[in-house]
Amino acid sequence: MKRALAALPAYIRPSLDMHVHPPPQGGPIDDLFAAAQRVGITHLVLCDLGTGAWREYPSVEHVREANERVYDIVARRPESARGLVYVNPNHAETGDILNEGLAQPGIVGIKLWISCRDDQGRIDPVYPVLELAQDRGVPVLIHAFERTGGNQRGELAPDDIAHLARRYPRTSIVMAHMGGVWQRGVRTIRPYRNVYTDICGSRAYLGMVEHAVHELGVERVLFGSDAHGRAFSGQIAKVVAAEVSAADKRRILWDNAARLFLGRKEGSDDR
Amino acid sequence: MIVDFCAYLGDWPTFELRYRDAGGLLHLMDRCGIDAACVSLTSGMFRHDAHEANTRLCQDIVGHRDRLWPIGTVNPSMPIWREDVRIGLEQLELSGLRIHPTYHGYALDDPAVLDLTSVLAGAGCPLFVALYVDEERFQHPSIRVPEVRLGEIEALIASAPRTTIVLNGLKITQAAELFASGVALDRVVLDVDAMDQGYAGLHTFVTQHGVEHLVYGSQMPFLYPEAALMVVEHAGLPEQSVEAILARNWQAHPVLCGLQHT
Repeated sequence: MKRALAALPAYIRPSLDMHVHPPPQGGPIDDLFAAAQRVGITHLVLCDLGTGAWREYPSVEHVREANERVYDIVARRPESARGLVYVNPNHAETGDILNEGLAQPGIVGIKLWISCRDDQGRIDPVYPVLELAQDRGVPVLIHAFERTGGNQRGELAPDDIAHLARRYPRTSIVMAHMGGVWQRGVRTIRPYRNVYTDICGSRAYLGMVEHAVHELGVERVLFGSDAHGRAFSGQIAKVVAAEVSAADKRRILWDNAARLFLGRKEGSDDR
Repeated sequence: MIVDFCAYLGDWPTFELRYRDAGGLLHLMDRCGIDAACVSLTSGMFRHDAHEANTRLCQDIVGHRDRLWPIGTVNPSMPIWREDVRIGLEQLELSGLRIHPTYHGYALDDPAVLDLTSVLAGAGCPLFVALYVDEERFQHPSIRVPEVRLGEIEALIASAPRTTIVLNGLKITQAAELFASGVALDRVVLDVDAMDQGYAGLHTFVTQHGVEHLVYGSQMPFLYPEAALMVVEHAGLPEQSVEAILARNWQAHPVLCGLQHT
């Protein structure tokens, strides 16, 4: 029996997974790191959306508690973990939370999830977040989806990401999940060089990585898994299986995200 | 011998499939070390006449039957499904039959499905049940299908104890619930193509329920076949468990092991 993937390809290690959530039940996360290591993922960028059930519009306390957990994980694992500070931009305290978070060791960017509209459905609350990110020179990972039947109340779509990219051309934005309907999502952001995409949040659709590379150029494609919710192995398989060069796989698995989240230049990947 | 229990040939109406024909599928299989695959025609989900789809399937795999095992489509909500089964098994020499309850619009606890299981049990033919093809969140607005309720799956299994059933696309959370339900699973196997939820999902499932009922399935060419392969290979399972899922379990099964010789 030929076991084509029993051994990992040589190019896979080290890899940087820039879209990871600690398990919402809390507790030790050694298993999470061990599962990542099994498939060559050496570095994780974590954002916590809260313990227990994730809330669409979390309270200030919920957000602060979630962030504290990430700060703690990152502080305990400075060699392998970085973090994003998570906010519900509808809170008056958002600026303070961001400044406090970005002052923490190893906190390298900002996370927005599905609380991105105000009670009138306007996107305005995210503007100050993008401005702050632009001023501080940190990337913003934004959940984006185009959901059949309509998005959730505060959930942004690829069109919204394009709007933000035009408005804040010096802010690095990562559109999560290839925008949901991945064929259209990446085409929507194609004109905006300050927008990247990660490849997680869906099943491993054959051709999705090749499509992203073709539309955006390999330098704008990042590896993320969306673990804890997904298996690292099934998500990194998207890159392993993609019909792109090994050099391009290295860029997706390490170089692009390292440049954005670790401030490292290509080639300085600790191998 | 690694067998993929969930594969398709053909086009998909709402997005482009990069590999659509026998040659493409064989390329993917060679890339991954997959020896054989149980293939159905994608358009079987949409055609009025399942026999037409099955005939086309058999034409498309001419010369490759050693590696592409034809799993015909049957729609028990259509009036002459028994004829489709008979012709499919006797003339087309199909290896098995697959139902798509969501795309064909019936419940698994429909009496017609029970009739079908009885016919297939008598013929020694496995029933493949496609539970999950396209993610609900991404389905095209003109082709929206719901998820199959776990209760329907339990009812189907409970009412067909003599039928060999391959569940395609059962999510790991549903699989755990199915095992917890207590329904007898003696003749049931589950493929792993949708078992990528949770960073430790498969490991946890195997720890609790063992590997005996798991087989490899990829849902290629919708999905990269490497994905399910890596989920199994790198779940932190003992080597013998990995080999059981990929290559041994199906061969230990009295009906599934016969697929190789149909």
